[in-house]
Formats: sequence, C-alpha cells, structure tokens
Amino acid sequence: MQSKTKRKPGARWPNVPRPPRGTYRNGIDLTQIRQMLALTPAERLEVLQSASASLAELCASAKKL
Amino acid sequence: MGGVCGGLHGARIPTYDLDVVHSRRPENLSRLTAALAELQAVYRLQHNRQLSPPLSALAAPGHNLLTTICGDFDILGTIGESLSYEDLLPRTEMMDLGEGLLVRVLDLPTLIEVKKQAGRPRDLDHVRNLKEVLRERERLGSS
Repeated sequence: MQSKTKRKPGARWPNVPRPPRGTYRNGIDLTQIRQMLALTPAERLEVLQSASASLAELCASAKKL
Repeated sequence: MGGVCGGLHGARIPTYDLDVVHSRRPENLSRLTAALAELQAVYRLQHNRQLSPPLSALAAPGHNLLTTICGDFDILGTIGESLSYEDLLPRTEMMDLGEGLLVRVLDLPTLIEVKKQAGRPRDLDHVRNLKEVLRERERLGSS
C-alpha cells in the first residue's frame, strides 16, 4: 500500500523529535522506564490506562477509514 | 500478572486486558463468581453465545478468557509450569493503587520468569523490557 502523502526521500515527519542519544539499551527506551519508575504505582496505572485508551481510539479511527 | 503487572512495576507495555491468577479456594470462588456476574463476564472466544464461566471452570487449573463490561479479563487457574495462586503467593508483593486499594502482583523477577516460560514472541519482547526495568531499579537502589 502506498502512502498518499508525498515526502522527500530522507525527510522526517514533522513534530517527531529525534530520540535523545544514549537513552536506549538493548533497543529499550530507558527514558520511559525512568519516567515510570519516578511515579507511584497508582500513577503508573493511570499512564497505562491512558495509553490503552489512546491506542483503542486510534484503532477505532483507523477502522473508519 | 501480565502487562498491567509489568506496567505497575514500571514497564511501558501496551496491554488491553487484565490477567489474574486466582485463589481456587471455595470461599474465594463464591466471591469471584459474584464479581464476575456484576461485570457481566462471558467467554471472549464464544462471545456470541454469551457463556458465563461456570463455577467448575473457575475451580479448575485452566484459563478463562473473558470479556466484561469493563474490558477483557483473563482468569487463570495456573500459569507457567502449573503454578497456582498458592505457589505464587510467596513471590508476590502488595502495591498501593490509592483510595485504599491494595493489589497483590507478581514480583518482577517472577514476572520475567513466567513471561520467559510463556515463550511467545510478544512475551519475549516484554522480557527484554522487564529486564531493563529490573536493571534500572537495581541501579537506582544502589545509587
């Protein structure tokens, strides 16, 4: 399937920040882990619920296309 | 246990269901049955038939993959190498989710072990993530 949006070869999508260097280990984003570890379990649950809700919304939107 | 457990330990694992290993003692089964009725739980893979889990299934060591009005809910009699609630109890910790809600979750090393045993590609993906959480926690603990 081809994308309808034309991009110059090698161009980056706008508003997608390049991940900071040195925050990945074995392909895992340590920044996210450190952010999560700074939260309480209740706050971590909120992050999970919010992420799941966003993904569900995204899937529902994709199905409508 | 599962993705929510990993998340409570600090991993960013996308998950859409809640996995629970339950005590199969009679007094807990009656509480569980009442809770599942309130959640209108039915088997997920036979959703059209609207089958509620019978007590006999909840008392057995198998897996009950349910869907409820609050989302998917997997109730597992045993996991891994036939580990029951009682087997896993010493390898759990309590987490405070606020408003007086304390939940018992697998400790992180055990969750990693269980995910390794499950062995599916996505489980092994989670293992890599969880191992890094463990490493970070040890680093923070030792600093």
